[in-house]
Amino acid sequence: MYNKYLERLTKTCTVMLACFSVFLVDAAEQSSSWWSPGDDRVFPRFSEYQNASGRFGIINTAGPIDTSKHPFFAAKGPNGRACVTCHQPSDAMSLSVSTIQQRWRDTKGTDPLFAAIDGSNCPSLPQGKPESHSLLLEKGLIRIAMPWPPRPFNGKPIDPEFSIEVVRDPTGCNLDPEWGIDSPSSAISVFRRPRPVINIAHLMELPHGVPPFNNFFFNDAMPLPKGPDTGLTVPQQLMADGRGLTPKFQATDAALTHLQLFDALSDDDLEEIEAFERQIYGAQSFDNLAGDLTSPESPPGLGPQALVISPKARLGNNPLNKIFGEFSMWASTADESQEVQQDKVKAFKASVARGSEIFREVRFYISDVGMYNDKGLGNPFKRSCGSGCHNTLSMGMDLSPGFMDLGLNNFPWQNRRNDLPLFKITCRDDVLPQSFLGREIYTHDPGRALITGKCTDVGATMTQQLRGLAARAPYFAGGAAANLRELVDFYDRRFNIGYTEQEKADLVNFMRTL
Amino acid sequence: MRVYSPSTTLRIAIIIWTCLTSGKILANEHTAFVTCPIARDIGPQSDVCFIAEYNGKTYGLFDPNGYNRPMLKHKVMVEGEVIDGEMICGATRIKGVLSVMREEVSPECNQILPDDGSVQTKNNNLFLRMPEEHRQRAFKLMAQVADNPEASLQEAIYDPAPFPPVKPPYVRQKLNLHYPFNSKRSSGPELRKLLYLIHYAKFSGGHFVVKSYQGATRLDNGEVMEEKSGMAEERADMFAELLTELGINKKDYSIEVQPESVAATGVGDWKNRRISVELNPAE
Repeated sequence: MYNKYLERLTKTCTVMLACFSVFLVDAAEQSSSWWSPGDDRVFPRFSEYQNASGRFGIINTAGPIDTSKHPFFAAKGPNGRACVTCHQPSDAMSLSVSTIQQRWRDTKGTDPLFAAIDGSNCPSLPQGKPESHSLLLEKGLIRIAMPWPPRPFNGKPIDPEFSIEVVRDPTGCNLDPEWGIDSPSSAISVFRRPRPVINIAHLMELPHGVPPFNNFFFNDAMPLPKGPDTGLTVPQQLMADGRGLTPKFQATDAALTHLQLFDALSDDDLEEIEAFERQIYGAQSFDNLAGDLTSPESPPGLGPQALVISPKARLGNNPLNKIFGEFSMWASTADESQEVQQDKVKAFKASVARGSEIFREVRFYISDVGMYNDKGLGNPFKRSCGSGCHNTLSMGMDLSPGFMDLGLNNFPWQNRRNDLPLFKITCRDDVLPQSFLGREIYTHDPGRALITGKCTDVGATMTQQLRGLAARAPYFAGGAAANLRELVDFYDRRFNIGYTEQEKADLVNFMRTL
Repeated sequence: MRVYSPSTTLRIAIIIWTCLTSGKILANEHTAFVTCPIARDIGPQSDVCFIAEYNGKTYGLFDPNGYNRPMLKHKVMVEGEVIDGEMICGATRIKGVLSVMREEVSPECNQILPDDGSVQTKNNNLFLRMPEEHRQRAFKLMAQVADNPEASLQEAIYDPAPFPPVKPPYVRQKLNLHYPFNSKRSSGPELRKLLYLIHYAKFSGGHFVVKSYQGATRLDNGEVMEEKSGMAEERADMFAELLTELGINKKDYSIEVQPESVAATGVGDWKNRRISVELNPAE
């Protein structure tokens, strides 16, 4: 018992000290949440950033660092960008569309974020006009130019199993003579959200407790790939299409493309970037209704400290872990009573507790998901959000790991998107078709298939961690959901779940506290 | 040994032939057929299970090799032995293997039966499948959660214990890895056995002799389905890659490919879709 109180006291003191240090160290930072490359600022041990639902907190376990010359924060390339440009601390180390729009207003579109190369719909468009940057301004999307045919991966040449045709090209980039599929550099332009560079230590841990899939890729039962820089097996959780296997590999790729660096980053720079990414943990730390999410009375899985103490890459879909830990302390026994309805805080907390239960307990038919139902799980696979694709303790990504086509990119399930390019994929007769769509697939983003060249991979992308959601709307790789309610609505429609209005509200409230 | 007269033998053969051609499968008899799987809902807290209707009877489909479950929108090949009296998914169990026919999409296979309460579900609590020591720790942590909620973030699912060291005398090891029809994906449990074999070789040294086969299946209706040409070679290539990735040098294994499908007999044909591995320890 004594130990328990001591632990609580320690935790409370740590948080208080951390908060105090924010006032000491972060006074300047709080006045402006935007980090420009080369800002002479200190990245503190603990910091918080305002968002519409409350505050996002970051614990930097290595202690304060001077960012003025740090390679994550310093402009490295000719376009004036740094890693931090698209991985803003205020936005859970991703980039929200509200921040992007604010930055456009503040700089009249001159910030390096809006660089022609990928901060516009296509470099050939007239720059500086909002319509040329519409995908970034409205959906938070960065242009990714993928080589076609796919570049050899892990040294193995790729013979694509399909041909690709541009059906619709609203940005003009896929048919552009300089940047398109028929250009000398032959590239497919897809548009994706920057993934949050936070809690990377969790993403880089090989899965535990799922033998032999701690070292094997579930889909083909072959060994997981090895990082080219380390020679060690890696879990592939880092990027949407799995092309960057390690933080260094990802940073190298990003520097050459997004930063337009002519030469690769130095080994020292890469070391520093990886160390930084592995030492920062983040989660929503304060909610406007629920208050301090790090207090001892709050569910233990909330707040950034939970990510520091939580074991990494463990299955959380069990009666103890419940994915994000215990929420029953917020459950209300009289949640429908008039009295509770008048108490907004109690009602909100009860809603969050119900949301956590719906997330992990309410099963539905997960059906026709390419690269998921067909990896041996069966079709349909009747699981909940938490016991299905978001099963990792404290993080909520798919432990296995899971590339999958949820219908976010491919017809007929995707939200209709006239702003994105549309491709027609035709698979060869001698290969396995996409399991549920066959050999002719219409897609806004071929996803993993642009890396592997496999027909079965068309439209598949890696599931995301669920931390810091309130700080980084819109959601999904293509920015299809403007807010958490739209995200829930997509799943409700896609899988015909039939959530009630109350259940939807509970799920939204639960997710905004993560 | 009992000897039957030629006329009795003929009569038995006729009975068997009649049963086979009329589609009636006797208990403990081998069967093989391709059909649409049917998903059956068995309650809000359970995954669905799968059945198949074939020649007027309903069979419960069980996937013994880990994750290779049937899929709606695809037909399933069922090969095995009818186990009378043993029920699964509310129907007679066929003990054998399942292969999802992934080459083509079959939209007509799309039936889900609603839960009618007739199938009792097992407890899905993951902890009940764990070793006793791990289970006890998990239950102890669960008991602590009310007083110490942080216990809910502690590790509950553990990595299995590493393989123990292997001591001499080292003896020849054999392993068969079986594959679904037209597939080169190994099952999780068989991969674990392969990992043990590689672990064994680290102590014993020696050479792996690998043989890759492809097969054919004689269905109950007399049709023979052959795996696609080159399947044995595809399996061999993938297996070689697997061994290399697992740290086995090329000089330490040899792979032989049997490109012709092993002839189908209608009894246990699935066993021909395999890779056989033999580890001959160093002298």
